[in-house]
Amino acid sequence: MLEFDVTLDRSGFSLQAVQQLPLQGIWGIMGRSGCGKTTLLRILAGLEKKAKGQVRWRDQLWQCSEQRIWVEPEKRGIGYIFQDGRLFPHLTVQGNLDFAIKRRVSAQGPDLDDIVQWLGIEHLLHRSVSYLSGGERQRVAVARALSGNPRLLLMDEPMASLDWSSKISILPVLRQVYEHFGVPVVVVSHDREEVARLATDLLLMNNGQVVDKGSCKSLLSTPGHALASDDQALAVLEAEVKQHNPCEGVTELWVEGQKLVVDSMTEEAGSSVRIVVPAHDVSLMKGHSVQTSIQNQLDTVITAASEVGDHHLLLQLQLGRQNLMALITRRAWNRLELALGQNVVACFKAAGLSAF
Amino acid sequence: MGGMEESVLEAVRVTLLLASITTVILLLIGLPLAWWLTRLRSRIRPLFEALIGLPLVLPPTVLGFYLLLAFSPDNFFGRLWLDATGSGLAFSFSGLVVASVLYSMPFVVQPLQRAFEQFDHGLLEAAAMLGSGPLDRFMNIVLPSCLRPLLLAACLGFAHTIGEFGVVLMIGGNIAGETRVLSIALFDAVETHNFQQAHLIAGGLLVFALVLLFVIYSIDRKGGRR
Repeated sequence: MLEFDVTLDRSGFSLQAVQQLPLQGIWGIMGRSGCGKTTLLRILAGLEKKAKGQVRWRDQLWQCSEQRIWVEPEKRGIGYIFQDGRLFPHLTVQGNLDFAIKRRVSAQGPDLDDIVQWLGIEHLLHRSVSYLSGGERQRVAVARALSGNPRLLLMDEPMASLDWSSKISILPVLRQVYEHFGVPVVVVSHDREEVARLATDLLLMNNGQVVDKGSCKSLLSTPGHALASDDQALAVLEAEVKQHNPCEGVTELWVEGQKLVVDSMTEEAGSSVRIVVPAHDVSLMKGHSVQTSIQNQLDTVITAASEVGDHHLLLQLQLGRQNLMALITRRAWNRLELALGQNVVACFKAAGLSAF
Repeated sequence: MGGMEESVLEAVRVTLLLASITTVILLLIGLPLAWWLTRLRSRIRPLFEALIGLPLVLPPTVLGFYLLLAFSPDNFFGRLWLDATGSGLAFSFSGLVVASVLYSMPFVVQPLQRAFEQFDHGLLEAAAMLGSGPLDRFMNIVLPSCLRPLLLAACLGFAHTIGEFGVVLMIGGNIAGETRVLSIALFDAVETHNFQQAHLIAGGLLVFALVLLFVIYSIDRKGGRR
């Protein structure tokens, strides 16, 4: 459990946050830029000396302004992934990892070979960090943080400076850190899709305050919630791997008894994965069609509709116990004569849709 | 002839010893001082910078005059030194070292401060998050990243100490083997119309300064290109 009750006042900005986070899995902190999410993360790390209040990790008090307790950041045993990696330029990749290994509090912890192999950076070890690509830098940054054997891993917009293909390749890595190394993670991001793919639980921040808290899936798809009522809305689906079809380069999933096709993935059959489907990628048909390239056609029921802007509607589509969302034009709604409670087929392309 | 060369060699020895000791002391003082100044977020920072920079604009004789006063056993500093070491500072090699440290300080502190200001302080946060304490961070992150400016500062301090004259004249006098440095020996040679010796010293200093400056600018240029 990570508990905090902190305030920080700067000119023109004040942050106040009181929370208790059970640290299992990955927590996301999301909000617009300037909402204080990075500042909150820095407070937890001990990088904001002017923060007042209290931070407690399990039975250790990391800071308490009343009792004048302050544990220096280097003594908190936290791993921190900065947006820009912050690798030491005078050292090689190996040198950066060794720096962390040498400063471990205890000799225990994950084996360096294990970390290096898991992140796939064996071939980079002897390179100077100046010659790494953005994706490689972040992999090394993750490896370095893990080499320090942290009790908690904080990530500040770890993918913000990466191009799309680097993002896609590093996402599964970040997502599996908790399962593989047992290190709880708190990740800050402004990108809803990124958070949906990474986090199990979510803190929503606005204007220096935590405005909502809950499971990522429920916050993102609760009808009427701020996150589920604009044109960036997206749905998170839990699915089970059914079988791989390497010839066609796809994997078939089961979701609520229906078949879903996604880009080929490595998870074994039977394992559960989650996929993120942005509302603007979903279109509707009144019946199934074979005369289309769109592979994924799921039977759903329209349970809610809300207006987005002047010309669009955001529909809530019930899919068994889960929900999909579709962003359609008002014109389409009228033409198809759609109504609440109606059965529709939700379609979205398999290409580009990856599961995690 | 032999005696003359010997006295020049003596002066060379004193000069090099003075410059070396001064440079080492200046690095020991200058590194923490420049770092502290870089991190200082106070309105009095320019005051410290001005104090350190004084020798850049002040006539060396002014500094020498006040040092002479301070070295006097009638004053606190001079008394303290006399009590602690049993000998006075004025007209001694130790006195020259003290004066040189003050006189050459801006040449060491300023390049270091410039380098520390350009240093990416975000790297220190990254190091802290890996369990690295303040001294460890300074020794293993800051210094290795600033090796070139460090070398530059050392060269500048060394060169400037060799080139000083006015302060030495005021507080060191002209004691062979103790305080007679090359610049004084040159003055001496000219005064006594010993132009052969004057040529030797002046030419030697000229070539030495040229080589050293070449090295310094080479370091600086490479630093800029990086």
